[in-house]
Amino acid sequence: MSEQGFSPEVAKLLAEALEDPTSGLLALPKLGKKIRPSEEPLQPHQLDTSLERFLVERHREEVAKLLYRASQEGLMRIPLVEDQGHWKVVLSMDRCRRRRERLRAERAGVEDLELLDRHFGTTSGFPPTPYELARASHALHPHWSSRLQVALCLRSEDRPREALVLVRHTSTSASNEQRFFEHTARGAILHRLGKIAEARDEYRQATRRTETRPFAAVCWLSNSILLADEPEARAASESLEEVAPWDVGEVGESKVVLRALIDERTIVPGAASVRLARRLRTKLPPTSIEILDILSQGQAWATPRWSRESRPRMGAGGHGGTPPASGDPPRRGRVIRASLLK
Amino acid sequence: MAHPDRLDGSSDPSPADWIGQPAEVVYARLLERDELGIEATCRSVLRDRALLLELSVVYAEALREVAFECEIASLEDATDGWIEHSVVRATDRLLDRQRSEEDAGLPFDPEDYRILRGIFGLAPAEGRRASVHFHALPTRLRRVFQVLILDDRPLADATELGLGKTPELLQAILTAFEAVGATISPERMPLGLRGEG
Repeated sequence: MSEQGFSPEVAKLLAEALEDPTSGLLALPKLGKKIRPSEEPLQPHQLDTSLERFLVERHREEVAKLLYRASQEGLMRIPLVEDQGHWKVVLSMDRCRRRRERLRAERAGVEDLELLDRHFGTTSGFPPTPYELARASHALHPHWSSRLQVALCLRSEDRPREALVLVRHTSTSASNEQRFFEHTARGAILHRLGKIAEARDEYRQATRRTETRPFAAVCWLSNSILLADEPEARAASESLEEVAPWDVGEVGESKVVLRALIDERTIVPGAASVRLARRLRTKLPPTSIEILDILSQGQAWATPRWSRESRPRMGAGGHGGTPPASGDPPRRGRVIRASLLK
Repeated sequence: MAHPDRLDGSSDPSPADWIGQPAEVVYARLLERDELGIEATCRSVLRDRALLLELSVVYAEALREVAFECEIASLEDATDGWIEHSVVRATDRLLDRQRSEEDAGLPFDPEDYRILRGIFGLAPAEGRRASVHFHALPTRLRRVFQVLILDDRPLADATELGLGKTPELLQAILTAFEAVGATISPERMPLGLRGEG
């Protein structure tokens, strides 16, 4: 067994089991009328092949963990441009790069792990989807983390309603870590559903559950900006400063850009440009580089309007903000970019 | 939202009977009896958007969508057309999935494309590719196809509906057949152009 707890033998057997077209593990998500994952562990007799039954009887937790890891890896590989999924954004950030490296190291620890290799597309065949893997993992060993993984996969498959149903309630006995992840996942899902204020509240709560992870604070801040809620934005900014006091890396740059949106009092509510507003409303916050790119398109305009009276309504079809007067909109984005480049 | 096709002639069901219910309960209830007129809504959405998707596939997807919507929505969310919106989301998702699975070369069930294959006379293996290409066409063009080929109405009707004059209509039909890789036989030509005269 590798130091990360994976046995190459088990991984090989699992890969073999999954390649069998009659595999029941991956067929689970297609099972009839069960429209949400069961919280009861799958029993060996529910599986069709002897190899699967053997794996579940002898190595249930390890197989579940392998499936979970493979699902995480798969979700990370969905192109960022296509889907600003929670984990991909997390993984684009400094702290979480380490997480990616750790996962890679785990792969290296089981270098003959055909399952993950196959999932990374290094061999032919049709890899299971992250959702199928997560669902199989949860069926074997139901756990809050696997349920969250299923929800995040559903979110990335544009099934935010199903995803939200899975993470609506947090057990009263949940740990701080569990609460952090559940609030964050709910924020990401609610954001996808267009419920910006509710998403902001979830991110705020998530931020208060952690002293080490900046992701939720970045989202809290950007959603507050989107809602043109200056007090919330300032509170979020302060929290982010506590969690991530640095100004470098993607988190640091995002922070600087978002803080500039508040301090300049010129770019509200997330409407530095129509594009930015759209991105913020429909996706998770873009990275700082994307923000800068969007701002530098020259669509930003300057009109202080943090006051409540002048806040635009955030209707479903609107983009917020007053359109720039024709003629000469100040190119605020370039100012911010320039200040960052000093 | 009104359900003109509701067979029992009843009025719209009250959202209060459904919103806030667990998804499983809603799903089981709808499987028992389509009290929300989802099938009729699916038909109407497919027609309005000139889509050639298999009704049973859309219906299954829409059932889930409505069930989960009921669990997470509030009564304020259940504005007019909430069921239709659910069905539209379900069809959009199906189209997205078809595209991405076609791009990835994943296997598919030819039965999911039976209607489209029948209309264009395509082999089972051609179903999904044809569907992806057909649904990538502009809605106006698909609507021309719907009026002239599926409904078998004369060219004048399509012109009256604002879909264009005869040359544009013919071009649209040829484009649709070309997009899915099918050839148009004389008997499939729009009414009035079948060599009757």
